[in-house]
Amino acid sequence: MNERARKGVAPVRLNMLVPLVLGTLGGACFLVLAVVLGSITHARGPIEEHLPRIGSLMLVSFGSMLVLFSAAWAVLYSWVVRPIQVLTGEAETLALTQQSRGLLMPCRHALERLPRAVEQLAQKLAAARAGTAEAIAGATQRAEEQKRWLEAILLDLTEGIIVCNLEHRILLYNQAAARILNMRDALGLGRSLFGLLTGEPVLQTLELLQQAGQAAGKTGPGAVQPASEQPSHRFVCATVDVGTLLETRLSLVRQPSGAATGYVLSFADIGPQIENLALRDAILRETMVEWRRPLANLRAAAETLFANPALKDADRAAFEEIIAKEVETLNDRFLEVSRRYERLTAGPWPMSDIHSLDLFRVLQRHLSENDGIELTLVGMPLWLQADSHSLILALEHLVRAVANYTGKSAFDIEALPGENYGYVEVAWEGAPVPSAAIESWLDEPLKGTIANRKARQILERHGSDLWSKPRGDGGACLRLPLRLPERPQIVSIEPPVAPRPEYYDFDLFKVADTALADTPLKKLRYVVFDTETTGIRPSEGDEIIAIAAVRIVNGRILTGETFERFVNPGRSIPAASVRIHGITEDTTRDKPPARIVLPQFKNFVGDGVLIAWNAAFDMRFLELKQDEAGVRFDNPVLDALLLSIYVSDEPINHSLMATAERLGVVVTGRHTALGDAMTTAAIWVRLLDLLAARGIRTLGQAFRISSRLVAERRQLAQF
Amino acid sequence: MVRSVLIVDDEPNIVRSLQFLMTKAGYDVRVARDGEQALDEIAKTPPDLVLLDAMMPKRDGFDVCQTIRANPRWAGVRVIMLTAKGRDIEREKGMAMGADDYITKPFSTKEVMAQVGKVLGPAEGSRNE
Repeated sequence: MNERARKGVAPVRLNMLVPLVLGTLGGACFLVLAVVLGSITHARGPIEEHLPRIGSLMLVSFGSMLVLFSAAWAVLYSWVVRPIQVLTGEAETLALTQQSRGLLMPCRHALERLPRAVEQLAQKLAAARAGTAEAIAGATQRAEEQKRWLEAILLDLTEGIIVCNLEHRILLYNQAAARILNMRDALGLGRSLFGLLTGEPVLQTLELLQQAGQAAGKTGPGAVQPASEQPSHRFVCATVDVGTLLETRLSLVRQPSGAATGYVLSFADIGPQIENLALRDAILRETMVEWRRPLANLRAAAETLFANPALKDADRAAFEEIIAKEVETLNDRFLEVSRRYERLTAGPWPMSDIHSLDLFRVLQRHLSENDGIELTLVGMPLWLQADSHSLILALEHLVRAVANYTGKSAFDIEALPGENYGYVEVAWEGAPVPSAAIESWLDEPLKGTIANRKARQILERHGSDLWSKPRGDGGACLRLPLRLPERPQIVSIEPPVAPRPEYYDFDLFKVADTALADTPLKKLRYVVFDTETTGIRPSEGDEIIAIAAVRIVNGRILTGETFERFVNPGRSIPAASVRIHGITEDTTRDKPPARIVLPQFKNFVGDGVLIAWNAAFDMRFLELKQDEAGVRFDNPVLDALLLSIYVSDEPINHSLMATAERLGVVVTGRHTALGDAMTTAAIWVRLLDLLAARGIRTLGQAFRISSRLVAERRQLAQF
Repeated sequence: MVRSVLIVDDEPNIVRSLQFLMTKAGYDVRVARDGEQALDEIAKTPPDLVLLDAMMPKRDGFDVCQTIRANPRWAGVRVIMLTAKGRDIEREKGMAMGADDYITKPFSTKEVMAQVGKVLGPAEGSRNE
């Protein structure tokens, strides 16, 4: 740019100098000529004398005019022309380059306010440019952010998404599309859609939509359709290898003017559903064909017997045998068909995996806010399979009905694992509800549903039923079985490396309060907790990195009342320990240190009895930090490990997981602080019965036996 | 002492066969056509066994079973539930309501007689065989 400007200016400047130089030189020549002529005149006569003088005068005046003109030009050039040239150059430079600076002008010029005005213009231009650049940067950033959101959403969708232009070239696709289509070679940006899907359905649908768009444009000029009402069509189309049937939805991408620029395809694999339908169809078909023959045989034999009462004994016996045989055949075929039908579990209803805690929390909030009914979440959580929205509606209705019937306003809710089903149990103190009452509740229309849906329909859709039964200790419950999902209930069972060593501490099992010592173990309020640490040596600088706990009240694990915190250890986390707990420095970096978390934990614990697996280990970490945190964990402490060793007679594996398995605890949580605290809590609830069977019923007895066990194990360790 | 059986079902055809077979086997047989009638019969004289269909008008079999179990005077009454639904959940529900056993339709009469025999012990004065 500068280059071009310089080339433009230089020739102009030369052109302007030429008249100055020529004028001055010309003037000087004329003056010299006049002087020469003047000196000749002295040697001639009177007339001849005058002629040269006149000529000389003319020459002098012409020369003087030339000189004057040149001088004037020189002045004009340096005060006006040159400044205009510089100004032009500067204006061009500033216009073409991205700089904001003052004008570089000659110090003298006669352009008055022009440079100032140009300078102001230039400043305005620079400011406008800066504003534009800023706006562009902002818009780019927003666009980037939106793109990231879009990417995240697309990544999260289970539906496949492909965006194409009108030439059917792929502009964008998500991972689900790649997974569903499973044709890596043909799927790529810029490639034709018809390498993946059969063309005809897509082309026809596109045409339909475009026609509809034009028709709408004619009837309602200026009417802008909101994005949500953009027309789209659903259709089924096959992949080119006809390996997969896709339920597809096509919508046009339109400019504000209404012209289509491309289209979006979203699709899901309906193969499994189709397969399911095909299986149903096959069952029906076979039933019709295969039952026809035995039915015909049966009918013929029965009618013959009926129409001929005087048959000979041998004939009668033959017909009776036919009837018996064909009934057997029909019965067997029926049983087979009904078994096959039962196996077709995945119906056309949207069922998904839901964690029981999520389900219960929503229910808890709804019932508390709308009906003043308090649900307490107890037990170990479980994954269930349900259409969560309709199930919540049904459960809400049923709990309300039980509350009305029993007059109670507080219930426990729990998910229990079974062989084939998981059970949702809503429990209360008192007698079970009569079956007749439950049946009538199931047929009441549900609040807030379209078409007055009934709980019965929802339960049937879940392949479920509902009943009330007694539940030990004078309680009762509503029990609702639900299918268990195919996902494993446990994410990881055993930590991949050896667990921490057993720690024992004499001083742990003391009780200051004698009244507390006589309290039955089953009546105590417990807080079962677990920590994750950077290592196993608290005195050598290992630190807590996570702490979690759950409450037990009256022998019920209060699943809804948990404590879970990560702790910044203020040091590095060794790789060896990351392998145990999976917590990295990335996780703990922005978390509070122990001195913040431990008072929170103490607050949660209150004056409850602390329970942990290998409690001395966890307590040592707490004790080393309690001065810094300004709290004191002087609560009574019991070790679930120690007491579970006490109730098992044989020297067996005493790891948390092995003990859980032995005591029939279904481990549903991951190996995290909270997951292990939950498992320990479930073990503890079972230990209470086992301890009672051995005469350990009070806290004082539990302490005495714990101290004795510590002593024994210390001695053992010495040998 | 002759063992008594109350057959409760709203389908007369199955009632006829069961009634015939039970009587022939030497049991004292009564019949009720729905849940209310069944409870009336039990209130008159508690039978040793109730063969109880699950799906019935008015009060269904689950309801009747639960009512029987709620009354301590009827603690000796054994209940076998009959159902046309083959799902595990129905069986569980029946057992939760206090049934002693559970038979799914269609069943063979032999199977029913064997179950009854198991629950009650062999009938006295049996004319069978």
